[in-house]
Amino acid sequence: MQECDKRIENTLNKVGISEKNSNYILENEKVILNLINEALKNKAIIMDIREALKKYSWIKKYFWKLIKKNESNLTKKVYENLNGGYFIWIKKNAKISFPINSCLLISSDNYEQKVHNLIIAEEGSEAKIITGCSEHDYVNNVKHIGLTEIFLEKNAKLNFTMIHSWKEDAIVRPITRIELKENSEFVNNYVCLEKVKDIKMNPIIYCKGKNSRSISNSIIFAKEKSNIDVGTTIELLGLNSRGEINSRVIGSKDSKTIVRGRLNGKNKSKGHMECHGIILHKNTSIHAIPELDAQNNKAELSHEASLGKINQKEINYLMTRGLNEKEAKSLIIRGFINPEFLKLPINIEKKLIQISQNTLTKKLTK
Amino acid sequence: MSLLKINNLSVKVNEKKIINDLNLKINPNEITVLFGPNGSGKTSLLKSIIGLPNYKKISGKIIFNNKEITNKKPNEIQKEGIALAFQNPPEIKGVKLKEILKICSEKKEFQEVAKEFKLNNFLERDLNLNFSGGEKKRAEILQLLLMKPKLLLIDEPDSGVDVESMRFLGKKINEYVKENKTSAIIITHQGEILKYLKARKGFVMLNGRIICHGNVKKILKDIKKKGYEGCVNCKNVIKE
Ligand SMILES: Nc1ncnc2c1ncn2[C@@H]1O[C@H](COP(=O)(O)OP(=O)(O)O)[C@@H](O)[C@H]1O
Ligand SMILES: [Mg+2]
Repeated sequence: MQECDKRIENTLNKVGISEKNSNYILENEKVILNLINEALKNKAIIMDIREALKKYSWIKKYFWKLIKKNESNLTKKVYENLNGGYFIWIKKNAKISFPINSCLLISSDNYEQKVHNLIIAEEGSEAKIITGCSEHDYVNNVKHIGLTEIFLEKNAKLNFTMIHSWKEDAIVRPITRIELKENSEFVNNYVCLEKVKDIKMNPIIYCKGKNSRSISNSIIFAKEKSNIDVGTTIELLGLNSRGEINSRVIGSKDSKTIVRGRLNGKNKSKGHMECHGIILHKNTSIHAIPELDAQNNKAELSHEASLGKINQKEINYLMTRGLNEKEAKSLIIRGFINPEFLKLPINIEKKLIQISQNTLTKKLTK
Repeated sequence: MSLLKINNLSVKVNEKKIINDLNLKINPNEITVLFGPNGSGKTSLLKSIIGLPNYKKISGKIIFNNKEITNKKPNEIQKEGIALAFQNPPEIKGVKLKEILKICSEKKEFQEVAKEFKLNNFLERDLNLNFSGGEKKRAEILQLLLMKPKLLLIDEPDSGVDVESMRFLGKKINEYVKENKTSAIIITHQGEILKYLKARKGFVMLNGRIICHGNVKKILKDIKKKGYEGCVNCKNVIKE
């Protein structure tokens, strides 16, 4: 087992992960940690994708299946010059109670990190995967292109959480696609509470199998001058498939956020989408674009959206309980982005609550 | 000497005058009841006393404990010792009842009382979200009492509450007022809760004014008999 230095530990901290429970850490293109702890033995394989492609030739039928090599300049770049990424293989009927943690870090100026991850959750397996993406504090002008393909076999359950913690210099382009077989259940969580220059992503979840279900949650705190364009598309292809999209966005000083959501009902299916946003300052925008597309008369789709400033009634109410205006606002915002509904492992949840509290006290006591 | 004195108060909401040159005195150590038809301004009066910013005071004064509080903020007024139990409290997503109770009690013990109020299973729930009418009222009164106010403002504690809860809440309010020698203003429609607490004095509000005052039982009897139309033509009307 390799040792991580203090520098790495600090950056891991920003995404709520600690070194001692990490299973895979990639810094630029170098794998600096790859560990299968006791609890994962015989249940899961985690290794660098470059190594995995050599070792398990059968995974080639999954790799580049959901994402096409030449569908954009981004995918071409990753195909031509792969810097790494993880392969996570959760074995048949394996039940893994605590999370598999992975981290993709950038440590040099002007670095463009191109990764491609592959996750296969075999029949009847259950697992949670956390991926943190970040850069060291002293690094500038970075770009991250992250491709992720995820496959859930029959009856598999997977909770996949992506936590981003960038700075005002980072351009981030994740491309994520997920395929669900019969009766499988996928929870997708996205958390971004720190500044970023520009993020654009729109994962697509294909609920292909009969009775497959997916929930996609995002918690976004758009900070100063951040440009964020995130969404989720759920294709309800299987009979009785279900999809749910929940987004919570807070827009602060000069940030621009677009939150997209798209439910495509192509079979007898059900889908619901909710997007709620709070705008804290002037010159700040949140643009919600919920789309419902039913192509089957047995598809039932609905959505609910609200954008606006913090509810004055709630502020007033809390002030009658003795809080001043700032304290009342910060409590409401903290509640609004409370990561509890993501159903994360408790230590990650605690860490996230702590991170969000820190950002709030910094913001609102200014 | 009065605990609360309101002199010639006029209040506007959204450019509409809803409290109209109102005068009111509340004595120490006494429960006062506020009657009045729907829309007469009862809730607005309590919200004006507690200092909600959208209830704009265009003239008049509010004096509490010899201190003017007319233009103070709700949290400042709360610190002076006035607390309000809302008729319709908001739901706040992601903020747990437990957190609010902690704030109200200033981090002192509240678990036991919460149990007594049958809210111990609600501590981890988001405030008022999917609470029944009765549960909301119990949560409001619990918060109110935890704040240890000198003046309790209670807006319709008996609407949408079953008899047993009402008896419990009435008893709790009565106990608190007695033990702490405080005062309360209670708004009630049908006067149901008055069976369970000791109130002597009553006021009737109409069109943003107090139009009469007197013995609670007598007022209640008159209202039940003649409705509020009776009040309009009543000869006891206060002429200011
Ligand atoms: N926040 C508000 N915005 C607009 N109108 C209000 C508001 N609060 C009260 N009002 C109006 O003021 C009048 C008195 O209302 P309220 O104080 O709620 O009466 P009551 O509690 O006696 O039923 C009503 O006409 C009501 O519509
Ligand atoms: Mg009312």
